[in-house]
Amino acid sequence: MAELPPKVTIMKGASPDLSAATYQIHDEGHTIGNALRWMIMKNPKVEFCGYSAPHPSENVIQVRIQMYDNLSSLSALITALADLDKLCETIEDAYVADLRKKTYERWDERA
Amino acid sequence: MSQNPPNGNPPQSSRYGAGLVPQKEAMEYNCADCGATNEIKSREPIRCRECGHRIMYKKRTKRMVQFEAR
Amino acid sequence: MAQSYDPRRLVGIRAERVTDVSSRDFPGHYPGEDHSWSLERFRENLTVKIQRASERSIEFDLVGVDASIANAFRRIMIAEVPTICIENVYVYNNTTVIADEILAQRIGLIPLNVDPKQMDMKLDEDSTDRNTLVFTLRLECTRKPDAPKDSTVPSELYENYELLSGHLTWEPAGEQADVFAKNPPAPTNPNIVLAKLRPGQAVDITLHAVKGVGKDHAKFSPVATASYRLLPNIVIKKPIPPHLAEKFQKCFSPGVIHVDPRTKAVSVDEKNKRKDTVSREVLRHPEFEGYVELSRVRDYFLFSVESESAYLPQRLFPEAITVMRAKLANIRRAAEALLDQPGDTDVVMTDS
Repeated sequence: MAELPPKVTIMKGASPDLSAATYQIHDEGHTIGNALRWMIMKNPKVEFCGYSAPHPSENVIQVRIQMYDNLSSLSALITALADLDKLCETIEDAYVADLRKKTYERWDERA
Repeated sequence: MSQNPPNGNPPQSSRYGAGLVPQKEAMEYNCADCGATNEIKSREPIRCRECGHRIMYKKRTKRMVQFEAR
Repeated sequence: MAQSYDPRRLVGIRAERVTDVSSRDFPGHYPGEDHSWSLERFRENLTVKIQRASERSIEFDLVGVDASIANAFRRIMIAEVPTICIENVYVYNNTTVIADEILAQRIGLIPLNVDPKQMDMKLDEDSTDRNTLVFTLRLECTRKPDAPKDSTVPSELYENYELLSGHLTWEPAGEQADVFAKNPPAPTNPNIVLAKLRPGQAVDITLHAVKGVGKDHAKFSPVATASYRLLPNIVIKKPIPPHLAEKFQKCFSPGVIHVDPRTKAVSVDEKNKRKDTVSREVLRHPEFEGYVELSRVRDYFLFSVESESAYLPQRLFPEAITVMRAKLANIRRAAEALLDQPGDTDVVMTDS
């Protein structure tokens, strides 16, 4: 089996302190791209964040992050990923809790 | 496919090109009209023994054929 | 009294355009306001409410999340929640009028009742009892000896005149007989017609089913539809004249507008307003100009999910969340690995 390309790489042209960098994420699309972009933009230390899926023939997305005060964009990325995970957990808990209440309407649907 | 006929005779030269050597083994065909199975040897007339129809279909291969369900 | 929403949460709906589509709740957009991420605030504002469910579908509200999040879950339900489907078809005999490759394609689309949790994804390795299920499909059509003379009905004339999904027979291998003892693998619906046969025609096929995801092939998608819409919001600005009440009511979907039978007073039915299709019919009539404002609530998602697989409809959304979290963990591991790389100039740089 051919070796998989690395999941995340930093693209050429990043500033040495990583305060501005573009991350290439392999085998991901708009599903992660847009959600991640939204969560990174929720960070007040982020000056800019945008993502693109450059071409259908390349199975990657590119996430551009620029920080204020020369902070590290890599830690902003990691924080956003952790926050998104917390968000997912919260939604799942709320869903399961409401499902357990069984207050929804049950109805019959023919197969 | 063997170039030599089973009886061991040397290949005939002029009338049949290479690979067109007549084979004596019978092949099974399906009649296009009545569906009966006919054994027809090479150079025999192509005609159904049941109904006389002159169109025959080759049988499906007995080998397994593999597909992707896509 | 009609429920009112913060105007910032509304997407305006005008006769020929929509306004304020994008979310603006980012730090720095509104001066002096804090819009940074806060899990506590998110948890407070979040509402998940299951509305109705059947054995095949579920409808629920997801309120207080951004479209990018709701859309991620929708996309994952369609394309990345795994299911089991037939992938390889070995045809030993098929004398039906359906060509082998067409039949193979049809067989691939049959939904199977196998819980994907019980199987592993087959990567490039060999088939094992953990990643492959084997089915056979054998049928031969014959004439019924006692068929009525003048009949033209296939069911009276022939035996096995239809090849159905119910004809799939599972061949347990290895530990499968124990693992699947409770719920033997079979199609979810035994009545799917795969091919029609006539006397003398026969089918003899072996099938291999594997685990896969919808982004690879749509047959692996666990849902028939997974979609959301935004909650419609209708605001009546001034009382509708009684003689126009019924006409006003007919501009909306049934049940959305309530007209008092005695006074002809018009109001929006808060419980039923979600049923509105937002056809904007009311905006076409000049007599209602200025009487009503249409909008949708930007963070109020009405999900509708139909399961077409082994998953119960209420399980699909949690499965999507699990897949999402696995993706996030995977990326996070890779990103944290970048942190450990020594020096500031030794960062991995890739071309292109």
